[in-house]
Amino acid sequence: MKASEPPADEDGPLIARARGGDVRAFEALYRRHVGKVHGLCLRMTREHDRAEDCTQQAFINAWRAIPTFEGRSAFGSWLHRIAVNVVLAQRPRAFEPLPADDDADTEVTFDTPLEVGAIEEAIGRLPPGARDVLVLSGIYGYSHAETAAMLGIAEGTCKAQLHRARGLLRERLGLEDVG
Amino acid sequence: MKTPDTVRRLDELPRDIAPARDLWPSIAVRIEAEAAPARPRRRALPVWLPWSITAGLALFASGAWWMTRPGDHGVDAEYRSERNRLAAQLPAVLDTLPAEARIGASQSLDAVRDAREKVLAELKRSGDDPVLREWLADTQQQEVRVMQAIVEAGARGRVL
Repeated sequence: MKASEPPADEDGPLIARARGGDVRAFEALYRRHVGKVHGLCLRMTREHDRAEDCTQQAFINAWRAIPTFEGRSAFGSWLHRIAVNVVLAQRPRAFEPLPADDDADTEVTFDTPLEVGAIEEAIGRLPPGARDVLVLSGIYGYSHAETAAMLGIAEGTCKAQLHRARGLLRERLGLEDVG
Repeated sequence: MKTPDTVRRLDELPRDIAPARDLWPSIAVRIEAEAAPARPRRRALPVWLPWSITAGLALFASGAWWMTRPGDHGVDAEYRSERNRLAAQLPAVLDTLPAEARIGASQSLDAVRDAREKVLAELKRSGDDPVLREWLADTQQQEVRVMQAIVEAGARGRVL
């Protein structure tokens, strides 16, 4: 479970009711999770309208699939996987594979305080492949394995994209000369 | 670039970013429209609905052609009443919805009504088929559920 996800036991009764077709229960789940799903979609699409479309579609897909949700992962993580699939499905797939990088496990850390807006803007200007990995791994805390599985890429590619993203961010935020 | 509102690490960026508008009304309309075929059958109308009344529902939906058939005049007053009540509210409710939700609601209604018309057409072609009558009852229930979802979404939208 990711750091800011509602505890699974809080979702559990609502999930059980939603699996039985209770729309009200599913609405409650929507209200609990929409912020994170929309945040993920917005960061991956960088377009407000598209992010809203993807968020809607993600919850509709989740409603369709919830009878098959078995609770093996946290509900929020399951929703995120659905949202990532929706975003990727409406995007032309064009990211280039990168070689794996052994140094890519280093935590993405800024040494100097930066405005949130400046970081978000820099993330938004990253190439889609690098941005997806940075968002899922760096912001939402998924492991390389989880991120790679969500994006349908090799774990080595995931690490390489993160390394690339980190380098581009540092460059674009002018951090290369920060000691 | 250095302000009190700063972050040091990516994982300190906010994970939650609420959408600018409530997306639930649009979602509710679409999942209600899909509810019947996607899930175990949940009947808004009683399971004991007899075939004569089911035929009456078809009569109501299909117009004059169906009215000429013998034995199909048991129109379900409850269904008609509910459908008419919701239909009377729909224009005003749709006006209260955001444009996208309004379009989605209209599309959902069109879809379920189109499904109903197709079942009716098949019933007309193939005669008195119990399976088709079952489907017809389902599509009519689904239509009422979609209308209910739209009206409820409109009510919530006005409150929010």
